[in-house]
Amino acid sequence: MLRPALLATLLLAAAPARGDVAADLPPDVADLPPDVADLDDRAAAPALCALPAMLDAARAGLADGSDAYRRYLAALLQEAALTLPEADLLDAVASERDPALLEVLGRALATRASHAEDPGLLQPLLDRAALDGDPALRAAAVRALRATGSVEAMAALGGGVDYALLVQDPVPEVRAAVADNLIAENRDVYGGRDARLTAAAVEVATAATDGQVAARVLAEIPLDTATPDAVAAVTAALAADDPARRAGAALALGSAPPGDGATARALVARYHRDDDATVRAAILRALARLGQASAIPTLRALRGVAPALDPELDLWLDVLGLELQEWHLILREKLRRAARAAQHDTPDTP
Amino acid sequence: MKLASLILIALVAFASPAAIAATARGPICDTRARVGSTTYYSCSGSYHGALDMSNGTCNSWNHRGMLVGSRYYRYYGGCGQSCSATSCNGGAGNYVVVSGSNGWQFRQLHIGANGSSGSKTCDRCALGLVSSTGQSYGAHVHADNRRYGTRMTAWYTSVGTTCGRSAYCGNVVGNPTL
Repeated sequence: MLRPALLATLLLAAAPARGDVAADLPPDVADLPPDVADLDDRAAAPALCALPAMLDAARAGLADGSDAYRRYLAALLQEAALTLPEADLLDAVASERDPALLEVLGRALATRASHAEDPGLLQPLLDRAALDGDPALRAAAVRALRATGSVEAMAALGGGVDYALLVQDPVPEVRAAVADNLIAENRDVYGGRDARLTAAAVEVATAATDGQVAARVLAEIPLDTATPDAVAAVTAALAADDPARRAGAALALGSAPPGDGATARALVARYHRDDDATVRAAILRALARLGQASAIPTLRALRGVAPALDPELDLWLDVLGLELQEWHLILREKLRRAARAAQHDTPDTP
Repeated sequence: MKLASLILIALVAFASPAAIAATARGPICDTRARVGSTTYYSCSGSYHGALDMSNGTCNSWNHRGMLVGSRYYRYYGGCGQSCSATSCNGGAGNYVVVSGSNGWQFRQLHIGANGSSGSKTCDRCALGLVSSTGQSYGAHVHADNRRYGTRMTAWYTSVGTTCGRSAYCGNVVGNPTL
């Protein structure tokens, strides 16, 4: 339960206040005559509030509050960050030692940076992510950047710290946070299609020594907008030693631009050569996605290459024969049939 | 068969991204800003299927991104300053599009171009000015949530947004799907 006095403090901090307006104006609006410029955004000016009091409340709530209360505190701090004194926020991010609070503070700072279109504000957070001696704090700093336009911000700052560097962290928690960030940013910020994000994902997958992380990034970030060089890098990953990385590369290639058919030929060649069932299943799915109904002859030609996968191949042929027009409809039907087949295969008795 | 099925079920995690619900706030940081049209023009005319929001000014207030959280706003410009209707960009004037999954989009139209205008990733930042570029009778912000080009209305009706409701930037006006 939130104390009334504390609630009042938090609400006051989150509320837009009146006062200085010029800082929130774009340059050409600020250049308008004063009687016009003064009108704009007067309600979004900095608030007078004490960050330390907010942090004390957040620290206590994050430690023993419910999930809903923790989400509430995080959202409140994010909104307050738009009007809090910038120096206080930067200092707090640079010095916080509690991972849970650093994540919330970092997210608030990232919100401020995105709102103000000032990626330079993220530098203390990036420094924590790359250099902090405590792995839990490094992971928290990375998580704070999730779905905030962080790939663009890192590029704007000159690439000193980027995800290709962070994914080489010795601690799995940090590496996993990198994969989660890229996947979330691709989905939430760009709607699943952005050439810069795709390029960053391929760079991370190439730089990653952690095969599971590379596989996740490759499998979950489509290559629709990838350059030929990026597609070539992912195609090369089909020959990786780690089966998870090979499967991830195969899934990613399913979303690559069809081009001249080189991607499909590389997948077919790998299907003949690979001995891992997961990789082969991923290749079948990639071929189905690449060609949809036109992939039927290619898939038929693979029957018998790996007999254990033939039932899987036949499922794809059946679904592609329906000539559904969109990949998500094809995939949904395929998964429905696969689940039904698995159910029928389950014996009634041990 | 069972082995292959289990493998493919394991790959469910890599399915196409599902649409997500976003939160949209008013685009004008003026407490006087109001919703003027929703499902029907002027709340009584022909079908509109979008929100029109205004504070009664032209080219003097920021037209802000409405979505809470960082989003990529793709900008389509080329229309000169105007406080009356034109046919620029098919009537949309200068506008931005945020793309989601499976054909979902969120658009904001009739932007007055200034130094803030352009494609960019940000969280409720200034996209230009509240203006009247395109087929716009009186400066306002038009916001719609479409799927494959069809305008949906549940994103604002579901939160009770109707004519006269505040379009201030601190007020939630809808939950668009992306």
